[in-house]
Amino acid sequence: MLIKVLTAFVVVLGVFTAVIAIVVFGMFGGGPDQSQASVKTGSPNPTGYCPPTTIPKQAFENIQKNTPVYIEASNTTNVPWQMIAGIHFRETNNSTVTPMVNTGDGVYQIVGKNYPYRAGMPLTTAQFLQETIDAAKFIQGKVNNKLTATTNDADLIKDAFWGYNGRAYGSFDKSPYVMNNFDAAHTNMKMDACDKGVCYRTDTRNGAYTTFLILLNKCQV
Amino acid sequence: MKKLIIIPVLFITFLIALNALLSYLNSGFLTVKTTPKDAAVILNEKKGLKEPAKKLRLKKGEHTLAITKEGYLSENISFELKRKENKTLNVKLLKDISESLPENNDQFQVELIDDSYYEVTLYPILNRPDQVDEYDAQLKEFKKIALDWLKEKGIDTSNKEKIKFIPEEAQNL
Repeated sequence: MLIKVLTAFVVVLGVFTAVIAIVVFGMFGGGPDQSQASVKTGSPNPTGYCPPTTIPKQAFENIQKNTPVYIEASNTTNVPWQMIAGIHFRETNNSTVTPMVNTGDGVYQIVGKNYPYRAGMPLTTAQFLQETIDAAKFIQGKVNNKLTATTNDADLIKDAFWGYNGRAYGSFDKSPYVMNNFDAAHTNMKMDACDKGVCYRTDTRNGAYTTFLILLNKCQV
Repeated sequence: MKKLIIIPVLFITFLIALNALLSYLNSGFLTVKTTPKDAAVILNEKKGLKEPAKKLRLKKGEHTLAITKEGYLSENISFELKRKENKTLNVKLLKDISESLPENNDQFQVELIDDSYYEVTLYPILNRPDQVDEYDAQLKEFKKIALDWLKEKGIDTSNKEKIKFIPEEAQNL
């Protein structure tokens, strides 16, 4: 009889403890951050993956030519040089000639920068380096300076690209600027852009993260 | 005795004539015009047509044609010929420029797909909604540049079925 009473007491105590735990952690968030955890587990480490695309020949040649400047800016700002090249590809195909439109925003198209160089002017190495450092600092600013030259946190890298482009489309995974041509599910993504009665355009160019991976993993030589 | 021989001969002749008549009534006519003119034309995977441009009588129904010439992309066509139909097929073979491919630059990429058509991907830049006019202008400009490149390589760019654009919106620009 005593054993039965003790067993019932233990069961009731266990259920009571479980209910209290659920209520307390549920109300005050004492458990692990579920949203943060799901983001981490859902994103592959960038090491090793090659997207099913290539960087256009001309842009790739520009990247090879610009690499010393990207690396110098990376040494100054701790942004992986391949990320700088990825942003530069999206903005102006890694060109070092001042663009014909949005001229003052420079070759990395940083809105409001007001660079004094005229449209179509080839930048000197020093001018290009300055614009590259500005862009790298701008990227760092989007993720509170968390990037390091060897970071392999895929979410952090994607978030930095996404921030650079203004965080549209709800998440970096849905942003063509970040993810286009990363895999079959992200090929030729649609971009929000209304004009002449049509409210989308198709993005055919590789996203910044896609370009970053091609360079990081030496998928194209 | 002679009459006895003539009757079956007449009967057989009648059957042959009847068969020929029925065959004629169940036929259509096919003419194949190719560019270039000296392309080889194979009918139903068997018969090489010596003079494809000449009207050819064929049984009604499904048929296939394979048109080939060295230095050009081959063309395989399936078609249905109806009774008494007079069908003319104009087939323009596209030059095979696979040795120059893939062509890939900042404005466009050209690839040969399945050895049967050219896929042209255009690369206009659009990162922000305020760049949409520029994107539309670049799409037109890059399409023109890509078509000029194909023409320079000897491709007949009027053959829209054999030159497909990405994005699709560019197809009818």
